[in-house]
Amino acid sequence: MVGNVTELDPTAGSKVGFEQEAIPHLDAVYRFALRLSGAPDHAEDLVQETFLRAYKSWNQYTTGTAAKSWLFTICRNVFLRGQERGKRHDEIVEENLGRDGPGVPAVNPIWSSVLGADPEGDFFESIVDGRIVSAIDSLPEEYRTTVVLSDIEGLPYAAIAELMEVPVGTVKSRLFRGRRQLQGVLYDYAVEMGYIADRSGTGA
Amino acid sequence: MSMIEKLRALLGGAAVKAATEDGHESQDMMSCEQAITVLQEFLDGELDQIPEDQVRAHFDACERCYPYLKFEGAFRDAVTRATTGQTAPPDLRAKLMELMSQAGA
Repeated sequence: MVGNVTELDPTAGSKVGFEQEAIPHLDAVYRFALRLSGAPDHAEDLVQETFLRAYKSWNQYTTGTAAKSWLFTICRNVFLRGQERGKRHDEIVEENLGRDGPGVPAVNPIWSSVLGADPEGDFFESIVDGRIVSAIDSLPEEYRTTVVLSDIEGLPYAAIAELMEVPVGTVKSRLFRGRRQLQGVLYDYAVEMGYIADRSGTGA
Repeated sequence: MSMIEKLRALLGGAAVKAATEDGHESQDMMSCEQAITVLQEFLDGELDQIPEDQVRAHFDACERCYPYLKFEGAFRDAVTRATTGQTAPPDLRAKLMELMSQAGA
């Protein structure tokens, strides 16, 4: 029987492995924590708590699996546990979810708003980074996390589904709805700023 | 130069002709409805039923659907651009290492 270093010497093995596999994801976990919490101070605390927990339970981590997803999972759990005292999350989104998977509405209502004015969405380019970030932060947690994991961290549907403990159909639905909501906020801002001509009504 | 002329120039005309004259229903092209239904999965690289080439071909050739692809692409580009520069504060790594050593190596 071939035992690896970790099994033979848990303490020495775990430390080396942790530095090599977990620490490189620090920036990604920080970005994620920042979007979850919305504030740099809170994000730093969240990251410290995440890495500390990950470090302590490093022996449960299986080498070769996605360390990044594992860290995101811990980070989100820590965040949600901190939130539980305040509000309840799950109901807000789930009751609006309706049908999942193939039933996800495919036509984006915003397309008809930009038709004639800016159908290819050039206005997105005019919006400053900070405004886009605050629009992301305004989404409900379930949408925000899904959009961040997909659009910013590039995780596949399956990984997001596992991390959030929902079916892949729910991930697709949340992505669709989250992106629509985010686009809606950005569209309103662009109209307000005059980046896009509002032609929906002549004198409106 | 109109969009249709640009596409014709790019594609040699055949596909665009099929799209405009046959109302996208030509046998070698998926319908607009199908294309829009799979747009999100196409952009996410998560198509599981339809080959990517087939979807790409529709958007390349269909004057009506092409702007939707561009719109969703512009949105994603903006989200990426707005968040890529974000990295952890320089001292956070040191704090973590300190925390680890306190937790016991």
